[in-house]
Amino acid sequence: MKALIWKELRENGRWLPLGWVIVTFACLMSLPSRQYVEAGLSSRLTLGLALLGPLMAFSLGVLQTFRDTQAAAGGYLQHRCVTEQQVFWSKMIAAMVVYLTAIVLPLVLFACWIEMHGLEKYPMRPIEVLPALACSLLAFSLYPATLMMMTRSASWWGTRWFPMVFAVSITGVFSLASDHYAMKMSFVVGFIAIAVVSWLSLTALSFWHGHGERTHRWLQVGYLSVCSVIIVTFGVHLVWGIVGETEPSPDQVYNQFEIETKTRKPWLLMLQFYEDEKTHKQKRRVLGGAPIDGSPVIDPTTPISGEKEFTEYGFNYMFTSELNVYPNYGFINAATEFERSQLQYFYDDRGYLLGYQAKPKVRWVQTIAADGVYKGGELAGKPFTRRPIDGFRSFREAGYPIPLIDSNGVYLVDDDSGSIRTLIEGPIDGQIVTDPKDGSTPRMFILSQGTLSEYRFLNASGSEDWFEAPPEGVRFEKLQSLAVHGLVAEIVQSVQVPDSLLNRRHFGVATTDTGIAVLEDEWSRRFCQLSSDKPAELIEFSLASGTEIPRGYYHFNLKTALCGLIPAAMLAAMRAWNLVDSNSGFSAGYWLQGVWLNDFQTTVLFSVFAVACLVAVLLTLVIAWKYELNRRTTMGWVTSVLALGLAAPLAMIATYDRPRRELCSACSKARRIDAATCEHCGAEWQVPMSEGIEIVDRAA
Amino acid sequence: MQIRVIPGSSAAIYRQIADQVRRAVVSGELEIGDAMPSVRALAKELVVNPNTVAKAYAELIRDGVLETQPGRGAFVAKRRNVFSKAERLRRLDDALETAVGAAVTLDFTSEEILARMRSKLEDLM
Amino acid sequence: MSDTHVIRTERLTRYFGRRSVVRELNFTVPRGSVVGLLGLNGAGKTTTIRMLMGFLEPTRGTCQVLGHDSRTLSPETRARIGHTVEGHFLYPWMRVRDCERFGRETHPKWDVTFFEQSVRRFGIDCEAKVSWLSRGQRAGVSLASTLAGDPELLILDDPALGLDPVSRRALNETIIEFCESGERTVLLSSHLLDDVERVADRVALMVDGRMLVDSTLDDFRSRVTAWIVDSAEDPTIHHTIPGMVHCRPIGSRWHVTVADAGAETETAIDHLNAASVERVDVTFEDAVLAYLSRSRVGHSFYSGAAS
Repeated sequence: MKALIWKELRENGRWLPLGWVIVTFACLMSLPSRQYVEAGLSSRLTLGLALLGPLMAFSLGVLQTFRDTQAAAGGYLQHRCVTEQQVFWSKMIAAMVVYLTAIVLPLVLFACWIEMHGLEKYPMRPIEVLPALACSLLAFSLYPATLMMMTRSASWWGTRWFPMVFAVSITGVFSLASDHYAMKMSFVVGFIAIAVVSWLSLTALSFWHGHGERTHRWLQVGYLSVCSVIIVTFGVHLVWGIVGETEPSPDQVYNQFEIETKTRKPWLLMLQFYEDEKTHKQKRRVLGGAPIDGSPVIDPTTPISGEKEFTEYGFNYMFTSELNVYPNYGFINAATEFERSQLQYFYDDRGYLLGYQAKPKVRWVQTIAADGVYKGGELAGKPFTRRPIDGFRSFREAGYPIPLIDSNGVYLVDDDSGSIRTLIEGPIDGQIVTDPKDGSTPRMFILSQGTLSEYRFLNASGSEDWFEAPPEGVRFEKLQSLAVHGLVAEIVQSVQVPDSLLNRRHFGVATTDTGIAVLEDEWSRRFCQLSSDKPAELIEFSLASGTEIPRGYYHFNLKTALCGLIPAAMLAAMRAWNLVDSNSGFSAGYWLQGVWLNDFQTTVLFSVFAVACLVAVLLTLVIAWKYELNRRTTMGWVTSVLALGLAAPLAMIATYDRPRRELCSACSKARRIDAATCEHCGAEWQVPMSEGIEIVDRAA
Repeated sequence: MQIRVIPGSSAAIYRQIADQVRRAVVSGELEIGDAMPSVRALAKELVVNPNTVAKAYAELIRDGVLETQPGRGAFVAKRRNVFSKAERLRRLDDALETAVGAAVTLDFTSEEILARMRSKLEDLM
Repeated sequence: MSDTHVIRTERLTRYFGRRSVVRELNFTVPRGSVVGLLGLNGAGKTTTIRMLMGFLEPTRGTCQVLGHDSRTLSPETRARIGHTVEGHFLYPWMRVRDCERFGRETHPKWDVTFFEQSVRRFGIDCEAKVSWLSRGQRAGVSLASTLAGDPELLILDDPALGLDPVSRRALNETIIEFCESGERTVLLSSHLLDDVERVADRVALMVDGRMLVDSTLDDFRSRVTAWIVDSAEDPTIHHTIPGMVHCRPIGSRWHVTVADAGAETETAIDHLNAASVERVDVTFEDAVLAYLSRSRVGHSFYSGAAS
């Protein structure tokens, strides 16, 4: 084994310098420019390695197998007293050593270089190489996949390349999302990489010279099935993309809760959204509505009498816990929303906002911490508990500098005095700043330990009328000063939120005539009226029959039908992903979120799914018959259609060799060439006709 | 004695070895009681399969040219007649036929041939 | 059984795609013999050897080497088999010393002094890189590392390919010395009939994936006979000769080679419409060539139009 590893290292170690050059190149490409300040070194580095790492793993795999699968070199290697497992593992170990050396060494040097030059000159940190390292580890999964591809006997035009699919997909998916990776996610990806590489290595071993074929076939079947599922899903996505271009977006009708501006009473409206023919902008039209006044049945189609105005999007949704607030932003990221004077700001996940000047030279000149504004060059003061830039969209759009917020409070940076002032103190679990369409000053709701408070912002003279909303369609050009040097936040009202609502991920909040209304979500038919002096009042109602608008998409849609072709295993995986992270997901996954909400769409989906399964079962049976699988195996594949759908027949073709046949000399039927006796008549193979010239002395 | 083996000739290698030993014994190059090289040694020397050498030796021993002494190898045997009179005559005829055929094609008269033959015999005996 | 036969195949068959390269091979190699495996390129020799070594799965049938199924040879069994691949492959980047080390660490029994002596005898510098060596020297290193493992069975795939006369002689001597104890066995495939005639005592001859001859060399020679037939046209067109292996033109005459000629054959030959019929001696080469020519037209390219 030692000699084998030595041999592999000697043969492949010579590519190390090339690997170093490649990785160094990726590092240099990821460096920020000298002309302007930018962050994102981490994601640029990861993306660079996401292209080069897999390429290196793939090349190593080809280099290590190409020669040793040739007859001469293979014979030279295999006739010695080594097992094929030893040959395999020595290749694996050597490849791992070469690959990691090629990547880790330049990355560590790069990290040292960043440490020497970092932060002072550019917003970059040595630790930013970590996500790249984790993704490179994942990219190594292409190595065992390449070994599988090289050792399989299938045709290149057929299923030979199948094993690459999973390794390439998982590397791609994780590398593309890499700009959000900080410490935690890097380790998660690292662990996933270890698991994936181990699994693929064992599978590759079972493919190695087909010797595992007799013992660990299930590994091959499992892996090829996964690859087939991905191929089918990808195929559906391709069609999906083409269909998506041509599919018109239908007019949609919704039921929506809004507040009537004059009386501040909550209403349930029926709205239609349509595209304005002139401006091509989405517009809304109120079709009807009714106030929620305690009556058990509400008909949102009732025509509205008189002139009534409604707040658009009357309810603001807030997350109930810090955990749900922010996605990971990586180790260091641009804080473009936070604009003031000439500096550009970046958030370092250790809890500081770093201000950089761009001219005449990129330089770190300011550090903003939760307790003050400090000079650049060091991380001083009390760190923020999280990225302090959140919400205040209405402030930003009107051109006002935004207050900072973390779980300990809301702060205002005062440029003149160079200090930071706490506007609102105390633990903050959830917050939302309203975005009034009528130009009034935005207000803020803060959820703190079960208490929901409404704040208003007052200027030095105690007035709330300082806010100047920008005219519609005009972007502010320069920062409005927060004229309001003495801006303070004042509690308008505070209410206790019942536990049942606190347990939810998020809820909608709006001010009404009696206090604060809290709504579970748009489809809820329950309504909670909270006020400071009265116990919580729960209003339950139902809609007049026929006025309930179904959730999600309710027109027939080819996209939904196509989703039915996706294997159940993948649908389940997408669903699980949606539950974990409802905001991301690739095209079909995102679409499906809407499908699950709607009975009609779900029915379409399941009908297509059923038909696809039926077709898959038929194909499975045909292939099982052609490939002469035994009854048990056939039943296994037929059952697997439930999870694999159309991928099942594909996986079968990839897994089995089609038996070759020749005519039987006894019964003239096609018989398998690899069986000793004819399966039709039981005849043995005919010994080739004697030509009368054989000279054989049976030495036995 | 130098034995030469020529592969690719019409005579099998074991026959080439046997014939050369026989000729050496007749010509006196090998004398009675001379030790023959062992099978292995000869095989190595001639670069031929030991079984081939062994087969040649076996034939020579059967024909009485060589004899074995247990533990000491093969030796050139005393000349003795292991063949019947008729067999000896047949073999003599075989040998003469080739020689006479060749001689006649060279345009010698019977007298000349007989004279040469006689002088050869006198040299040998 | 395994004591007397080191190799035994039973109905061994291998297909590549739709084509059978080795067909229903029943072949045995007795212990202590040197077997020359003859056949044209593509006759299935290398495929057979690769199946014996366990590098290739048989499509059907079985093969056993040293009493073990070839498909599942353990490292212990492999240690008893010495093998050189076609063309004497060695890793070109290795030095001769590295080859020795690689062999030593992958063989349980390894004779260092034997290796060094053999390499020295070939006049090879231990520090030389394999890629600098001539083909003969490479063969020397390859053989030395195969023999240093002290095998009891040698399976050599065309070891003489491309060797100069001196290296060939060294190869032959090595084989003779290897098997002198009578306990060790050699299977060698070769195209050099003279060398096979020298060192082998058994012949196995493959034509188109079938084994037509598997016998001792002398038995094979004695059972093949030939006639020169003086005839204007191919004498076998209108007459069948029992046991005829091959008939080829020599000038205006025909050379007819026959296996196991009996009374029937004699009668058939006599009945040919020939001006004269003459029985001729058959060399080993003639006999083998007659077999090999069956599957391919074997005359000079210039006289190609003749048949």
